[in-house]
Amino acid sequence: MSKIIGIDLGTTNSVVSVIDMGVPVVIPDAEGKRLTPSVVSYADPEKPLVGDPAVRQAALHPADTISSVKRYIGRRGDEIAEDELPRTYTVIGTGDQTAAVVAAGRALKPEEVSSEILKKLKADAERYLEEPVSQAVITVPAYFNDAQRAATKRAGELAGLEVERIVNEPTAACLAYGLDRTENATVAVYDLGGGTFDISIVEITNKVFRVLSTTGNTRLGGDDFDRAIMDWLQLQCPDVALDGDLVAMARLKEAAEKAKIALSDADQTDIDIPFLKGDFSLSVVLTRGTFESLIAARVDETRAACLQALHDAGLKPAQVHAVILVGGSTRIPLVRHLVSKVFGREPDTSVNPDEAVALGAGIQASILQGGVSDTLLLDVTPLSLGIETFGGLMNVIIARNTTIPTKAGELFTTAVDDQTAVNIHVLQGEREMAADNWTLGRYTLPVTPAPAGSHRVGVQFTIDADGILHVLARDTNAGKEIKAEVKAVADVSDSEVEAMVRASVSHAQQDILKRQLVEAQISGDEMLRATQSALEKYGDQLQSHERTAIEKAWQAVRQAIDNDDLSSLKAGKQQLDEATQRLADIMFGAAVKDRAEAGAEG
Amino acid sequence: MKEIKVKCLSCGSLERGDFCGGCHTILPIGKEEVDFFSMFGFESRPALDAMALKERFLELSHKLHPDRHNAEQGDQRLNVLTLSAQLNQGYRTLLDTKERLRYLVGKQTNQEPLEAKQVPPEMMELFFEVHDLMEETDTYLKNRKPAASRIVAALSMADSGRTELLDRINTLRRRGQQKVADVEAEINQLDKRWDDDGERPAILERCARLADVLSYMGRLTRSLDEKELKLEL
Repeated sequence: MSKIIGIDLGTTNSVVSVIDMGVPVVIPDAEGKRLTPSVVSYADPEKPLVGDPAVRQAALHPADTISSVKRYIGRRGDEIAEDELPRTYTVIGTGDQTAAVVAAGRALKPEEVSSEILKKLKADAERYLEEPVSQAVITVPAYFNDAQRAATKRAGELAGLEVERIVNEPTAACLAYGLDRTENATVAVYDLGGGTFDISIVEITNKVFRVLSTTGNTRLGGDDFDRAIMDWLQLQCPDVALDGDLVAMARLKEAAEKAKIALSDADQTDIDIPFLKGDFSLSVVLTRGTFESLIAARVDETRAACLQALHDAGLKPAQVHAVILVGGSTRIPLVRHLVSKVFGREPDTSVNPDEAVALGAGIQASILQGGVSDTLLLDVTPLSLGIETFGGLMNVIIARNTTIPTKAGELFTTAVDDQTAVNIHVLQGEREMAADNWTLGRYTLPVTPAPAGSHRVGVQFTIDADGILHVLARDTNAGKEIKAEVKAVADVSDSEVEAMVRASVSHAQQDILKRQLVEAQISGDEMLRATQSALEKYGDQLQSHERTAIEKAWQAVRQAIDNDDLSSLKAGKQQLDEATQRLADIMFGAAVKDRAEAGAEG
Repeated sequence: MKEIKVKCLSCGSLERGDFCGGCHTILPIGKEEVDFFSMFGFESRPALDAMALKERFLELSHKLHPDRHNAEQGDQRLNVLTLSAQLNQGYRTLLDTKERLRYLVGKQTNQEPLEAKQVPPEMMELFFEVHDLMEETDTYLKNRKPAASRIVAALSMADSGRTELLDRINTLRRRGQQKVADVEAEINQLDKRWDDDGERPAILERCARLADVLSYMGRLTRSLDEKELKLEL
């Protein structure tokens, strides 16, 4: 039997691993590199390039070079916000159509692009193992919904791989962390990658890894930090029009990513981009302090998720024995600082943040083949599953953080006289109203007309070990049954795609700018008021130069708001945000201290 | 406890429960519903050793989880899925005291206990206090705007109205925890009289009421937790 490989299909980088003589190892490619950039270039549409060769095409053919496609896999057009769209290539899809990317004049499904990456990893593994490979375990962010999981599975199939299991990334990383440890422990896995964030709490007892809770954000990661730097760089050259210039954007992105990485070690870094636009060459210095103020709000968001995960696991931070860091973005000092603040301990850095997920996937592959037989993974479903009931409410059938596999069912009845069909609207999410959750599918079960309440319809949900949902609905009166696999949202026809491409070109740029101004004015105004009242309460703890800086930025924002000047307003807000960092820290500190004291009393 | 022996279709040996230890084959699932207590080798009774339950759960998971039977095909694969799902459901049910009591009452009386539609009298006071606090918190949260920058967020963190609400949530939660501890103690008392057949109907009746108390407690704690989390963010 040939070996099952483990694949971490990441937003930024992908890694493949296998168990060799009982030990999980990362498989290097022909050049000896262990990480494959998750970039596919269609500069030559007949021969897509993957990895480093594709990265080299990014500055030459930005529109045909697709990076971070994972952000769009299994998602619908209406789920993707304006500011989430890539700046160097085009994503199309409106309403409930699945998103597609445009490269070399063609619309490609994200899973097609991902499959190119998987094909390359499969070939690397075959060269290393010197035998054909046909099966794989692929990881996904724990917080991926059903559609995203199913699309990832399809990507594997398109690459000629049977996907033996879909595993959650933080859980996989935890397997790599705990494989050689014998002691029982409760660990938190903080996984901040290129595009997604997950936090999982895992209890390890006698080599059983049981996930207690998991939560996250599938739209938060290193990409967002790159964007923040890109925005800042654009503010540094307000007189140079860069919007819409794809080559300039690609170069900004490359410089932003480099600067971000440099600032994990250095206190400041030079950003030089010769001939960025015409004869304009950009040369600026970015300090770690400025960088941190650019990303602080996004990093703070992960704090909320950590608290939620702890709460769902029924644990206090002190009951967690170790916090494992996974994903490249956990190298950022500000992120490490936040993690140690939330959990009250220094994070454990014993696993390689880039490779742990792939190694865990390899371990899971070996578990499935009976190789590693003393270890077992018990994972949970990250999001609640249910159906829409009368009044547009979501009726939860399987609650989030339920150990999988699991089965659950409920009986429903008809609400109207002489109903001829019962519509079953399958939902995933945590919101109360059905409309606020993801639609996984809609099914119709025909019933014979009868008075309201006389039909009994049983709906059974089964979640398999991949975390994928199967639905069975049964009319208990007639014994009618429909079996339904949750299908991806309808495929888009070619003509629709063409229409979408055209629409995306003639974008109403004017409207966007106007909306941006109004939003910036509202939030700027709010900042002014917050700063003023913060100064009244805690201003005495600041040094005089800090006060002067705040006052200067305050005036700049005030003026920009009054003058309807968007670019000065953006710059001013950034300046004010930066100037008030220490003031905010003082206040956060005071609030945390108050809480600790209140807790100690009780 | 009655032990159920099942004949393994693959190797013919008699085994207890749904899993053949002899040839490691999952047995076909009968129409009969599994009993969660006997699944884990426990007697049906009010009190339960949570540590022993967990140990047994992990042990059975090692044998029954789909990962251990990845080579199985077709019906056998479905059986594994069903059994593993039952195991997880059984663990969840027995671990949660409220769910366990309901399950016990249902099994013993052959009918699902009705959920009380009315707040148990002993919960009235706490119920109203939590209710009032929730409304106050909602009003506070409604007036708080989402923070677009750190300085705005920091200001709302330092607000004294927020810390006062958090303190009150904590106080109410502690009272709730005391209530739950009282219920657990009473269950242990009931368990001591369980083997007396004459007392059993009364014990079951009381178990159903205690499950109601726990159910309300669960709801109250959940709302407190939820509001606390919203205030923390």
